[in-house]
Amino acid sequence: MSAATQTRIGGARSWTGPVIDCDVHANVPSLEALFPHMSPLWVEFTRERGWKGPVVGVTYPPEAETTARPEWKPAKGLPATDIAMLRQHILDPWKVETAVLNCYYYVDGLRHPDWAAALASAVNDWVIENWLDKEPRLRASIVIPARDPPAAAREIDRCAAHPGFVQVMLPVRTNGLYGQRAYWPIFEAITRHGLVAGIHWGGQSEGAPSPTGYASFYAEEMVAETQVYAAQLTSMIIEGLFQKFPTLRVAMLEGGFTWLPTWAWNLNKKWKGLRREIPWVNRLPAELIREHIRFSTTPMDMGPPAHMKQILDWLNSDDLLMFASDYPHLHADDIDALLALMPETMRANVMAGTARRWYRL
Amino acid sequence: MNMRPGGPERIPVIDVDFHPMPRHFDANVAKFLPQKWRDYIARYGLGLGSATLMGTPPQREHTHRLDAIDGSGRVAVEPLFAKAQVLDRYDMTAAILTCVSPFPPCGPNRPTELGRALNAAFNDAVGETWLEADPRYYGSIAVARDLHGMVDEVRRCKEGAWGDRFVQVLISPAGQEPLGKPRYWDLFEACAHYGLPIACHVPPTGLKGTAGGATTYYCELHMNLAAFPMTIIPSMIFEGVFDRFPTLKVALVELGWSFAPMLAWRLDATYDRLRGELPHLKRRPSEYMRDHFWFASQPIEEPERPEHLDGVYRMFEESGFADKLMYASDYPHWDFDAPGEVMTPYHPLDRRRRILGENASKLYGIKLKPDSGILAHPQALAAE
Repeated sequence: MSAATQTRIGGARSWTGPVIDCDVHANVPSLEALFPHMSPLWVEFTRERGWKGPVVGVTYPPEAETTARPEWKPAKGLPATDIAMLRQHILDPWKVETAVLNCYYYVDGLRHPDWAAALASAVNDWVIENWLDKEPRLRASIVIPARDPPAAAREIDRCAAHPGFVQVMLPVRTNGLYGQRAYWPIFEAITRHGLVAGIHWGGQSEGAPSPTGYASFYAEEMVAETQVYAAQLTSMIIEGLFQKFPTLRVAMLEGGFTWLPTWAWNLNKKWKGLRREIPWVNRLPAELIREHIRFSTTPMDMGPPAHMKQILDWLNSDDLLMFASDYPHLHADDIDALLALMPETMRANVMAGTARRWYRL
Repeated sequence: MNMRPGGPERIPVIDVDFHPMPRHFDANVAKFLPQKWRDYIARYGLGLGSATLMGTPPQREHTHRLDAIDGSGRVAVEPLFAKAQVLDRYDMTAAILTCVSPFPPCGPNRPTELGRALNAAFNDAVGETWLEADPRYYGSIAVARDLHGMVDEVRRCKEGAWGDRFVQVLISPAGQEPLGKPRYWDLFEACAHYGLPIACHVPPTGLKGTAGGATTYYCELHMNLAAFPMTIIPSMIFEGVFDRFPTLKVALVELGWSFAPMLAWRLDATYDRLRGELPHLKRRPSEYMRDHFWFASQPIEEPERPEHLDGVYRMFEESGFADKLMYASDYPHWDFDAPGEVMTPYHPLDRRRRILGENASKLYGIKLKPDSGILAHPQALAAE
């Protein structure tokens, strides 16, 4: 691998101002780690069935090059399971003021609705005890049983009292698109508590995660995953989610952003031609995106600098992107190269300002 | 359009997306269908077979532009009406007919033999009704994507009465598996054998509307069309299709084009990190993409800020796709693009020539008619 495709360890050289990292990960080291946070019934259920927990490797195969940077792999076990390593790898050297911690434990990989809800609660309590209460620089996302919107809303209500939670994590792969009315209880709870809806890579749909069957390669899935972010964004706009919940803030995490401008133009154009079908969408989709959705910088999928500069211009806003390390994952991201293409105000927004406002930090 | 040599400069036009819309009960289709299948359909029906499509009624019955209703009371049934409305009006060199009527009625939701017979009947109807009507019409061999025996249909059409006028194979952009999978390789082999590009055009015939499930509204369904290349391109490249079939050319029609540079970057960035999984690739993914994929103009880009329009084209051209974008009208649909409205004098003349005619001329081997097409300098003429 060439040096140019590696992020330099130690964060942005070209930026000395405040840094907010909107996407770092924590891995549950094992199902047993959650037992102290589960009722005896679910512990017994787990033991009786010999269940080892959700198959995390579907989203992040443990040995794939992208799952953890070599420098961030522990001697044994899963990466991102140790708060001391997070401090040592990210928070201290990158001088991170605040990082938003996303523990994706694949709760929706479990079908049993009550068990999945119990598992989500256990993960959230584990995050509080092992991360939020130990590190003031951390904020976190609430994990929900996404298959069961009323149960998800109850879990959001239960966790929202803890000031460390600033977001609800919504896996990007679902059976139904998030704008649909069946999901509205989740967004009602999110807006009730002033949280952000964070759409993140992962999740489990019925059948293949594409409109045309299963991909052969993990790399193929990764490239193609833009389509499901785009479908979720489109659904949220078309279904009138932002008219129903005018204060809703969404963050699209680990889905890239270079696809956004041309996709948004397409939405604008289709809206002009077909809006009679969706009269509640009373503004141009691109305007709704700028008002209600932000994007993490990962993966940057950098093109030539002159072309990346054009993409930034086409965003038509200096307040859409939020820096993310995506610790411990490996991307071909070079934050310095991206910042070099931006005016000063945009750099400040990307590195901290936008996330500070979005997450009310 | 009677000004010929010595008249004002013109830009020859080929339209790569022009839809005849026959139905299975039309006499010109049914005549090719064995009696037993006509009886079967009369008794057991022939739905569209897609819950997503059936469940989201379009804005008009035929998703048509209002003035396209011909003598049949429908649209694009009568080839001479369509010829006057498009071929003659814009003085086109050619229109590549993209009849998608077999998708999805001939898909896996039928008895296989019926699907094959009906698919063949549609292709024959396109030949007899349309290709016979005007030499500027060229056909696509439409094949229902997951129908057993697709290759036989390509062979049958190429070696039949209108073989020389069928210039590509046409398939749905979505099916039971991604397009690079081995189940489609015999089709690619047939395309390579006959030197035919393979084109993708909706409707989708996959298992879902989007990766996140079905869409609710027609408007939403239409927006998500632009997502199909995100599965087609990585699948065909990563499966090694272009090492196996180095002459294969793929045309993505009505599936967008301005995304191409960004998808190429994403392909390379992902490949750079996950080479361990893709040791069989001989070149970087973006190189395969540049060499093997063509795109159609419609629906044409409209950036939020008009001053960005030239940059959209320049990025596409500078990324190596300058000879890969082809004008498409999408006649007779509501979002029809006229050639002179898409490629206005805002654009440099060489770009207009490439997109309106030259790129398609090279891909399909159709010689452009000299002194034909739309006016290169309409304002100059108006000022006279």
